[in-house]
Amino acid sequence: MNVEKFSYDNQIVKLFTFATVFWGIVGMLVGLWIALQLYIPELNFSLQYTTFGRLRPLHTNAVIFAFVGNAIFAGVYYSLQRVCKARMYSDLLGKLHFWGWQLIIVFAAITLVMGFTTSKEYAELEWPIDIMIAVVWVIFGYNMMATIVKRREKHIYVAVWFYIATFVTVAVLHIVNSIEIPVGLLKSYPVYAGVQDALVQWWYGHNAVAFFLTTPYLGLMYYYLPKAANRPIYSYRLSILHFWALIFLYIWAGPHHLLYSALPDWAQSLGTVFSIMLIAPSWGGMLNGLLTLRGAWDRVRDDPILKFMVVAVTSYGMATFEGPMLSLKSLNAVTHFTDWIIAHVHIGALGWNGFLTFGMLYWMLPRMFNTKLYSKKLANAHFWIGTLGIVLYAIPLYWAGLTQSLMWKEFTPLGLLQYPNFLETVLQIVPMYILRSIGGLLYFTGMFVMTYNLFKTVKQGSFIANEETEAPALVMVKEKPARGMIHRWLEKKPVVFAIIATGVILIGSVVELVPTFLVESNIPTISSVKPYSPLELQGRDIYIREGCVSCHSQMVRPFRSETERYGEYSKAGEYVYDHPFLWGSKRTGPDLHRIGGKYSNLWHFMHMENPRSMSPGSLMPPYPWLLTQDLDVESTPAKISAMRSLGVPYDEGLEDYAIGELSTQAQKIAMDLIENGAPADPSKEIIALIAYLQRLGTDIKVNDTEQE
Amino acid sequence: MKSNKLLNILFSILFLFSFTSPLFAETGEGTNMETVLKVMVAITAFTIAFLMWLVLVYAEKNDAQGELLLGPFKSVFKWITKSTPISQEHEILMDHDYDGIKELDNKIPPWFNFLFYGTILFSIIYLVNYHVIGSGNIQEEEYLAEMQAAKEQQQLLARSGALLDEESVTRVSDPSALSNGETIYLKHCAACHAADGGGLVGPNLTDEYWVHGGGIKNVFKVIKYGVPQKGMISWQSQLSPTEMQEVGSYILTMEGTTPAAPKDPEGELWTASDEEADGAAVNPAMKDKGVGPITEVTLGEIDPQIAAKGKDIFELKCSACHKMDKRFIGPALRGITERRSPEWIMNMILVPDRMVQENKAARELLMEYISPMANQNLSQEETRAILEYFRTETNQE
Repeated sequence: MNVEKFSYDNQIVKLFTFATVFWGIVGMLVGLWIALQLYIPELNFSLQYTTFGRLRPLHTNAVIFAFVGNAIFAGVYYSLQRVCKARMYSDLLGKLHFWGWQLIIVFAAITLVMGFTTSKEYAELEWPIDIMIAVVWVIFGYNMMATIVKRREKHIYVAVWFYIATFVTVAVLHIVNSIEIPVGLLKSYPVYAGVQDALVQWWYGHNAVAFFLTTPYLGLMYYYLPKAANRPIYSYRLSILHFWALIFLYIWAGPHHLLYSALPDWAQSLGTVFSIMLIAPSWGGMLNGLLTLRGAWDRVRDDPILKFMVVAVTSYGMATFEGPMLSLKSLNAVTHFTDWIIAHVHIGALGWNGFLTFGMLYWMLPRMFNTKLYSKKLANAHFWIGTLGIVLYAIPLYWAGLTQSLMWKEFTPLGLLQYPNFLETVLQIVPMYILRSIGGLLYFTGMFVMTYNLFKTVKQGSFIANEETEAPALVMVKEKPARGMIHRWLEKKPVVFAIIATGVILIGSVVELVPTFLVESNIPTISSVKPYSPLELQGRDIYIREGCVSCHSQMVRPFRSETERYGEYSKAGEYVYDHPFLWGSKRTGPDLHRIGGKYSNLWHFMHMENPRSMSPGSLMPPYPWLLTQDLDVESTPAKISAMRSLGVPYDEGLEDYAIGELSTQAQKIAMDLIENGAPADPSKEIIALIAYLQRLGTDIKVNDTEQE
Repeated sequence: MKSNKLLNILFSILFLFSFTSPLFAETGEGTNMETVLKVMVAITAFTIAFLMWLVLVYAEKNDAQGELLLGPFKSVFKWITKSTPISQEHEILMDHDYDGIKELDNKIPPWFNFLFYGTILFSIIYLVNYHVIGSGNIQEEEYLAEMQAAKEQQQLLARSGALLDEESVTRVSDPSALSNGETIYLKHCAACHAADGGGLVGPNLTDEYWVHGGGIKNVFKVIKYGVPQKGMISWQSQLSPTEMQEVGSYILTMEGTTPAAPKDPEGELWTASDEEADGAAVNPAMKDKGVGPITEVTLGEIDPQIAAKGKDIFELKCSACHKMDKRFIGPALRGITERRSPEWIMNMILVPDRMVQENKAARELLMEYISPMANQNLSQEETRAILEYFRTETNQE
């Protein structure tokens, strides 16, 4: 037997670890900031860069891709080398990966606050950054696959299965969801419109949760939990079953984000049943985690690392049971668009991702620095502060979501809405928002305690950049898969494994996406629906820039309580020119799909300048800069021709007179405003936004929908 | 082996029934706080109970001899988990070793399989139910059914007269209603007022004298609330508003008839003009004073000075949303003093939030205009000035 000497690269792990802590603090700080803005709207300090609409995507991107992303890479680079008995394939690719990813994060932070956004959740970054992400992701994947191929361990371990599935699926999701036509350096339109865009986006969005927040973390759990507990994995068979079932079923569940919407019923039903079928495979992961602790429970009491891991796995189990329940339409009818969903995702984010990351860092860092954790006491304190933070965060939000939803739906005995004023239902839950921010503050405090503890640990230790080790060289013998051993055979073929995993995740994707694109009956055409005018199109882009979609939906659901409040429920055919769709996922303010024509131009003018002048007590921040900033009209022709190439039936040659048409419409709106005493200027952005808002949802009138 | 499969299926079906019907796709409309709370508590309780069960069932304790202690349900637990005890774990330890991590080959727990098969079965039934047996047009049908139910509810309310009260009630004269009224009268009222209305314990109903005022509104009020101190009971728990309207109208038809043994007149003489003055001919909205600090306003001659002051305040505080002749963010205001009582107008300016909460007319306006009226924090004196200004605008037309 030929024993080879080699070393593990800890340098790259260290870099990703520090980045994890740094971006974790940044991302959570932004989260805390916008949690405060929800009841103190002045906290944007009158700056357009720091409104809720722009900071919310910054928060989600920072915690998902910067905090969790770097934690994944740190964990993968550490564990992959060890379960493969091989140094990473290339130190250079690792460095490129690290610095490329940090650069993406910095660009993301800058462009998002500047207002460059596609508005598609967790995919807000504009096309040049999308390309960077694809390149860096492939660098990571190549480096990982190459390491697996040159491993010294015959079989690939279950953690690595999850890493492979993560790599291939995220690549597919990111590329398909980001197909867009550029109309400028930092502006693009997605090729999909309306219902199709919504379906693609939530196929992506849901599986970003599945394949960025779940599968890589299951991989990390399979390495760090048995290491920390020093116990064998409970069941190898369960690993196989729940791995394949999970990746096959997860990809189908996206439509549960669109229940009771304009999405066709068949797709909604698929979303529901595949979510229900996900309970068992998800719990398979939790089981293998918790049952691996069998015989080690007594140690959980004194070991903060195990404590973090137990709560993480338990949170995972709770969130993956709650998720399917929320996919049942009767419960979804109540919870969708409310704070319940925010509570639900934070059980997953703070509990599962956060706590598993903390456990991993506390375990891994002292080993890389050849020392012991500086203070177990502080780690314990962190655990309790964090747990209390999660509880204080989630419970008020569950309560808030439920309260508000029931207020939306309440009728008086005489059949009128009990709370016709939306604002009243918002003000009702402000105390819950205050409690939630306290919960968030506690969790954030815990993060600082950890940072200090890790800093001290690093200080007292000495870093092992290259950890020397040895292992026998791998001699591959060609074998035929034996009966009952097929999976074991497959574990020797990482590339075949990756290809099969890709096939498995493509099945659900194709079955759901393709019919929605090809079968016309899925989106009944409405002849009265016309493309946006040039001014309205520009207004829509301002709506996108300001992140209005963060708080306002454009989807009146087919319920009496919604049609009474907003107007006729939304039809699929109304969105055919919406690149991108703007249905939203949370109503902090009212739905806007039928806002057109409801208020006067002047109302909108004054409301945007200062919302509280029109609705006293409103929690919306003022947007005075819209009244002073000039509308960028020069981009209009390019936008028109991009839209036409996507199938929007603009007249040939509209590019040539679009700017003229735009100013005519702007003049008209400005004249009306001036007549009513507002100091309006037709060249300002506010005019375009008003034009768009007044157009919204007016193309169809009730009982006047013709189906062709 | 075969019987095992059968058991699996049976268990799956049981699991299925445990969370099907009430959670199926029916809409959440009409779901009240209680149901949702129950569901939420159930979910949380279930998850916590499940996790505790997991720990309990899989936790292992040995006695002094190293024998496994599982308690009274030993065989059930064994059968449902198929878990190999830690003491025998070496038998199922695989030869896998990844950086020191070993793997056991425990069987997949049967309860896990039940759960998995159960959800698959649920999904098949769900899809067949809605998309093969059903039309597949789920949410539109649900919506139409919901709207239909609301409409029927509304019609039922109108028919039962739930929308009728002493303010809105009118005298009915169609024969079927009066004959219903007569039946009710004979059944419930004749004992005290005599079958022909001549009065026994209660007063004579055929003359023109009324103790608590005549006319349908007063009669309705007396029937509804009763006059306990005089022995007239309240009927609102026994008669629907429509029935009270019918019997009240019937009673009024008895006026001028000659009963067999008439009691002497009691109360005041009630004439038709009184009834008119009571508001029958006046726009009922003018009687609605709304809710708020203003309960009584006396209007004199228009004071031009106060009106001019009101105009200034109006232009400063109100004109962003209100025009005199044009519907704007809020309604047009010319002629408002002929459509609403002065008290209502002032209350609406002073406490718009409360008005929208408690006053029907204000609520209906909000439904129509959507934009809530802002409270401008005006004093009563300023509000009175605006009212004066409104009066001048009304007169100009």
